[in-house]
Amino acid sequence: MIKKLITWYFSPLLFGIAFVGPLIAQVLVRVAPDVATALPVPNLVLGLGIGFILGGIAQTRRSWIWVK
Amino acid sequence: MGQVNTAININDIDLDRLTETELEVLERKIAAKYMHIVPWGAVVWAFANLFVWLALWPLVFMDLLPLWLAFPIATLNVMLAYLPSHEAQHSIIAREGRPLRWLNELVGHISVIPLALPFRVLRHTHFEHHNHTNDPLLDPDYSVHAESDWAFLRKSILGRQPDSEQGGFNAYPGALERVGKSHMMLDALAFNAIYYTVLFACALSGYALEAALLWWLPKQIAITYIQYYLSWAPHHPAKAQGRYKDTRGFKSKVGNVFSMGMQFHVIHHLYPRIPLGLTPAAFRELKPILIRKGVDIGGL
Repeated sequence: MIKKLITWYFSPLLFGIAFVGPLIAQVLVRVAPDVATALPVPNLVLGLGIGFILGGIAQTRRSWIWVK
Repeated sequence: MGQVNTAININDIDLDRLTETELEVLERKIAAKYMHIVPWGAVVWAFANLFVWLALWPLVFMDLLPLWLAFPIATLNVMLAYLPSHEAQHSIIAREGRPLRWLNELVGHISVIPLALPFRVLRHTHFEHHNHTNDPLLDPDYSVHAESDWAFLRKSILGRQPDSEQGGFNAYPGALERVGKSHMMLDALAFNAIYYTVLFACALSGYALEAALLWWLPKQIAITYIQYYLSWAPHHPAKAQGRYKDTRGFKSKVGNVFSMGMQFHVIHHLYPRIPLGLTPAAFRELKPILIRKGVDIGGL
């Protein structure tokens, strides 16, 4: 149980959602504020979505780098 | 740092007339002059570096320092975090039983906080690196070795991916197990848990970019830099093993300071108790002996 919890906490998927997602949202606001305000969904939702996808891919491929 | 005793002058000695044993005695006598000197610079470096890095966080969060300026400072801080701990790993500040032992251990623990790496794990895996330098199976730092600089960079980055079994720091648990120190992996677990928790907490509070540029990215850059100058460059091509064969001198394109003094890393492997700041002087004095012993001094 503890091992599973530790593995989950350090997993690419959680890193994608809890760190990469908010990071993408914040970068979007800083780099392209016009685009960020014109989006039909809140920035954080978009960021979390992209973070979830990137983290999910990294989780499946066991690597954040797509070039082997 | 204290004064070095210069009583022995190697230029007055005809090395060709010495036997191997006499040469060894002379080498040790010269090296001894540079040992047992407290590297106060490393102590100040450890505390100042940590203080500056910690200060960046409130300064950036309170908009007193722009993030674009804080990022290179943080990167420099994280890159500089390892070496004071390295002095402490070898008990250069104070050996066990000495009055300043507590300072040695304190420097070791606090200086690597920006790297989010635990001192005890670094110390014992580093001893394994010294004991088995360039051994593909037993040297825990062997995984970064590659044919060229670019091949190193590729290996270093890929070694940090979740699927890597031996790259990055993934050989460390095995090294600790071999020396009966597996329990120290709990330190690594705790450090990683704190590191991830800070990143997640900052991100979920609207400070993801700040956390990325004050810690995450500086750490990635620093690990690459440290692995390059401490593991790859001084041991390249990492094919030979043995006291005078496993480490080389080299001329860095960025000079000795920006390569963290690693041009003279061969001195460190021969005499790990010589403080980093004295390795160039020790190298210059020992150079004729090193040449005779067949050390690759890399044109230094």
